Amino acid sequence: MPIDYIPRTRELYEPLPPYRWTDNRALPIPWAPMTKPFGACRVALGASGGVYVDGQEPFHFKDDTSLRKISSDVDFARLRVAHFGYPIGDAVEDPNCVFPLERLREMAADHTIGELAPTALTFMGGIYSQRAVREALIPPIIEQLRAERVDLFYLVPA
Amino acid sequence: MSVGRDITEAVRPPRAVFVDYPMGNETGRPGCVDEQRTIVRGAFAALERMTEPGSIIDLGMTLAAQAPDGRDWHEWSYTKDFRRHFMKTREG
Repeated sequence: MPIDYIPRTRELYEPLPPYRWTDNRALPIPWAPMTKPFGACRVALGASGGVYVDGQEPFHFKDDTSLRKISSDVDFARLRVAHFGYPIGDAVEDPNCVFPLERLREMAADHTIGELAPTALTFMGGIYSQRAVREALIPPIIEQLRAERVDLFYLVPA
Repeated sequence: MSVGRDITEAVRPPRAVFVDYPMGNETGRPGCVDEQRTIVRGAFAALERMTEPGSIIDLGMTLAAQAPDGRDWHEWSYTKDFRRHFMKTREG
C-alpha cells in the first residue's frame, strides 16, 4: 500500500503543529490540451531534488527559492545534490534517480520525444512557504520555459 | 511524477503519474537503467490516456525493498527512526 505522507509527516514532526499542505481540491484544475504528439514536443526536465552543477552555488535548507539552470548536455560527473528532505545517497550515486536527464536524452535520440530543451531546471523541494513557491520560484520557471519555447515540462519531485 | 499519492490528490496537478517508490527514487534506483527507462517512458506513454484534468495514472510499479531492520520500507520511511538515519534537518 502506498504511504499516506500527510499523516506520516504529522507523526514525524510531532509535537510541532501539523504542516498545512497545499489543498487545491476546491479549485478548478488548470488544463492545457496537448496540441501535438509528444514525439513532436520540445521537452524540458524540471526537478526539485536539489541537483546542481559543480561550480554553481549549492542549495540551502531554509526556504531556498532559487533556480539552477543546467545544460541538457551537462557532464553527469559534475552533478551534485543538496537537500535535507529525502535520503540523497541514491541521487548522489546516480542523479537519474531524481533527475532522469540521461533517460530523456535517449528518448530524444530515438525520437520518442521531439527534442530536449537546451536547459533543465532544478530547485529545492523543501520549501515550506507556499507563498514563496508561488511568488519567487514559479515566475522565473515560467519565464525560462517560454523563452525556450517548451511544449512539455516533465517535473520530478524529491 | 508522484510518489506521494495523497499529496498529489490534494494538489491536483493537471497530469500526474504515480509509482509506489520511496522519495529519492522517483525515477528509479541508481544504476538500474532499465527500471529508470520503464518509469520515464511509462510516464510519457501515459500522456495519451490523460484526457481529463487531474488524471493520476498509476504505472503499477511498487518497489520491493526492506528497511535496515528488515521491515518493508513503507512502514519505515519518514518515521522518526528513518529521519535520524537518513535525513538532515533544515539546520543542516
